[in-house]
Amino acid sequence: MLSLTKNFDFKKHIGAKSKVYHISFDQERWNLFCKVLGVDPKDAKDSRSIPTLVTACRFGEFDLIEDFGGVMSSVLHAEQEYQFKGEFKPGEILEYQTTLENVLERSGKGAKLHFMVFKTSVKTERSGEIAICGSTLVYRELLT
Amino acid sequence: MTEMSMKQVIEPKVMGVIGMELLQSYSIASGDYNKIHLDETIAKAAGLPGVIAHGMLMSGWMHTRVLQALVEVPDFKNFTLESTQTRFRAMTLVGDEVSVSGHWQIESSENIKLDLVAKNQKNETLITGVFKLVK
Repeated sequence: MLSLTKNFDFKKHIGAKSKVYHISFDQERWNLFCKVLGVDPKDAKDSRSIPTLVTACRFGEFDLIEDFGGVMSSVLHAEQEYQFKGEFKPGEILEYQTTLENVLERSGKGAKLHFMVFKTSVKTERSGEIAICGSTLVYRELLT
Repeated sequence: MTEMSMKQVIEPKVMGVIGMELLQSYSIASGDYNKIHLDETIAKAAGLPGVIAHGMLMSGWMHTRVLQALVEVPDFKNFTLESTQTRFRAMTLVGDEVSVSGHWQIESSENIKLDLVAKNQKNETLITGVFKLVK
């Protein structure tokens, strides 16, 4: 549901960090991601062929929003940035943590828009930091 | 390749058509089970016109187009994707046919920039993206 007015003050959470998460992709899930994106799994020996797979490292964003009292159905994408520093392979464990870096507010048509800027660092034991993901999400708060 | 070059075209290519089965598959693969991508009733209750595609599926298709270009364009040999920035302009709805096109430009002997746009069958812009390749 689009959030009814709760007078959200997400700005007070700037600097908040998620817990540290661990995730890996078995071959079946890896192949499914390839298929959906139109990539032949035979050509995807590592993540360089499916770089947005690191998008799966988003539970920090989701959990922080819910920790702040928000609901995910009020969230839309605004911008996404990646810096790719390395690659990973099926079965390799990724470690990541997300920080809320900034919040900007704007009033739109019947809704207050909270632009929440998250940054997620993704690491592997083998290579250290392999990606930095910047994500700007819009939280739509209905004005009554 | 030491000076900034003229802009070159990346031909439009249809990346796919949004359907519920595709969105369910993307949810499983990505772990993003937000109901606005899966349930019409919940999407409409959230003030949306209907089920919308995952933004990151659209972004993923743009990345796939970049990787296709890495194979298609001889000048891209020995370059790899370094960074990307995508901006979401409009919602992608069930039934939308999504195509990606754009242009690229050599910025230096070590850097190439691609500007891509994803559009639906109505020629509406869904996402724009800037992709940087390095040698």
